[in-house]
Amino acid sequence: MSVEATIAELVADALGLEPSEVGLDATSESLAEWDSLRHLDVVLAVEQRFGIALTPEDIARGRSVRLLAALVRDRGRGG
Amino acid sequence: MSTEVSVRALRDAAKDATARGHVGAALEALGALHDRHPEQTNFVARALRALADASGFGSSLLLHVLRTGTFEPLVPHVVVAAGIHGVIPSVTLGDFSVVDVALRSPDADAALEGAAVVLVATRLADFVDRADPESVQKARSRAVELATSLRVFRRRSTATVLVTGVRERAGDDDPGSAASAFDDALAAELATIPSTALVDLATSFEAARGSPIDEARAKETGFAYTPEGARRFASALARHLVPVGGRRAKVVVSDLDGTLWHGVLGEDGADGIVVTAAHRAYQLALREAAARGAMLAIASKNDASHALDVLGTHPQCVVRPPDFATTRIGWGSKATALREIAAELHVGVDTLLFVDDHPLERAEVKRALPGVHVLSWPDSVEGLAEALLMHPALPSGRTAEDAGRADLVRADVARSRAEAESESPETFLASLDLRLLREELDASNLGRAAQLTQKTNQFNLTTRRRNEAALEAFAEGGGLVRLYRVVDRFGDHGLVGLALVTVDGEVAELDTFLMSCRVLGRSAETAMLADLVERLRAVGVTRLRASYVPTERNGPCRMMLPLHGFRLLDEDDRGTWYEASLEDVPEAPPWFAGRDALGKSP
Repeated sequence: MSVEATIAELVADALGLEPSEVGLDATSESLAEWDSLRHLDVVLAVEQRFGIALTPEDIARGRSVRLLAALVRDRGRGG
Repeated sequence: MSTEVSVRALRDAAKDATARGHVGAALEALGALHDRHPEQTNFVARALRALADASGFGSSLLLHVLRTGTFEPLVPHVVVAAGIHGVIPSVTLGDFSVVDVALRSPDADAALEGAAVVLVATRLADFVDRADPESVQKARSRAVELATSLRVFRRRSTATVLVTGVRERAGDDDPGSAASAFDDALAAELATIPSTALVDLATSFEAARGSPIDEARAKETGFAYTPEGARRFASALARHLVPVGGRRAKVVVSDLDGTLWHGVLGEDGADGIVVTAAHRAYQLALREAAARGAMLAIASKNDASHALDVLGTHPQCVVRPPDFATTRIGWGSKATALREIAAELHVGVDTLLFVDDHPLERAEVKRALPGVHVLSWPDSVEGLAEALLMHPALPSGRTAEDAGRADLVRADVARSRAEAESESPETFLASLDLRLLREELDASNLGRAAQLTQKTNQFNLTTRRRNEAALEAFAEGGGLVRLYRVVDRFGDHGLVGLALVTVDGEVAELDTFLMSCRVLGRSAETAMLADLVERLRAVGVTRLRASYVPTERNGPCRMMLPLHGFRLLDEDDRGTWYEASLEDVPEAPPWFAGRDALGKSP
């Protein structure tokens, strides 16, 4: 499973959606449930899964599946 | 990718088992996800709720959080940390930074008024700057101010109140620190407010892998925790929620090979058994658990006499056969052993905490007996002692009676022997020299009295659970509280009976009548009721009303009221109502040695 697909499933879990409802292009704009509080749930899960620590800037910027995947790859462990 | 395969398989197993109502299998899969794949917390939280809705698993708990930070991301972690042990919190949050106003004013927060448990979650930085030269004074004042708000709240609510300690790291232990000042001052205040406790985050955080707190994150988002921090916060909180939710363990059942000692007795022989430092620490932890009020038992697949011999004579063992209330050492299944242990010790299977190094044994027990607490095996046996002592279902041993439990068990064994050797039940009862002693409710027995209402299931007419605050409120509201202690020639059974009565002129109503199963079969209930009636007569009561509310466990007292002179008034799907004229209630049985035995506790 790609990093994007893993993250999409974690986003679905955080938002209370089925994994099929969150595509690889999902963003906090495209999904109503993805508000700033749920975003913190997503951040914690992504950090835990990939063993990385995101800075407050990362958290503010990483508001889509693809942006989070880029952050994960950037930190080295990448899936 | 093996991680993905494992996560997929466990998620599917959990969903599948939930759909089929297989609680044990669902919990096994969810437990594995929680232990091995911590990023799955959101999934596990939802799955636990779905399992509860589908199968009635677990008990729910209304938890309301008053907070000064962003608490929302902690909610799924809290649900899982307690839910995996059978207590599923329904969490509501108060408005940001509305704490004292909510506590002091009954109209400020409706969800607060309806909660069973209230958590006040704050951090030191929310009310004091560590760099401020006055920080210690300010921290102390804040603790006193919060305690005052809690006292106001306590006057109108009996909800259990938990407050997060603000000690988070090593430096906070310094007695001169503001964090210590706050925690110590608050702990002193809470000791005088019933049903409150400080949640010890520092001890939980100490075990964290990496830092639990991210100050930059706290400043930017209002949320202070790393994923590890969130997990550790939740497990510290679960240690309070699980007992409050009723999921306490009364017995720790331990395996032998690989658990109590290193080596397999059947293969390595007695000489091959080694008690390593880690195993010794675990044995000491078992003794600590016993000191806190748990009984100990053994369930092992071994030759019984060989195993007991090694346990009794191995020079490195620090637990010995007399430390264990009972053992099931043989070749049957562990699930059968656990069922038999529970039956022999007169406890529910769901009050057992099972410790076994073998994953297949743990899995078998989880599937066969979903109510049993199965200790999650740590990464290595070095972590076993801590895993046991930090388990949320283990008693915290706050009451003196908890600590004396091992002595009670030994006295029981002596009694059973005397019963087996006596000619008839009547001669046995007469030979016991039974006495019923009465106690008034006070600060020293309030904890045990509340515990009786929470833990007594079999001989309990109405099963109304009350915490210390609620019991105190009942007494202060004019209700009559009678506590009974039973003593015989083998020892003191301790406080084993409780009656709560409301009086309205000539008619009284029995709100609660319960008796510990420790004294079943002695007609102690007859003696207690006779004493209660004498007291009611003295205040002009002529009639006593009572009800029997059936539950899964209280069959043993179904006929108590009819057998004690009560006649049927009414019956519906909630229960059965009775009434008795006081003169129809029988006197105490003769083996409660006459009126002289009914007296005040020394």
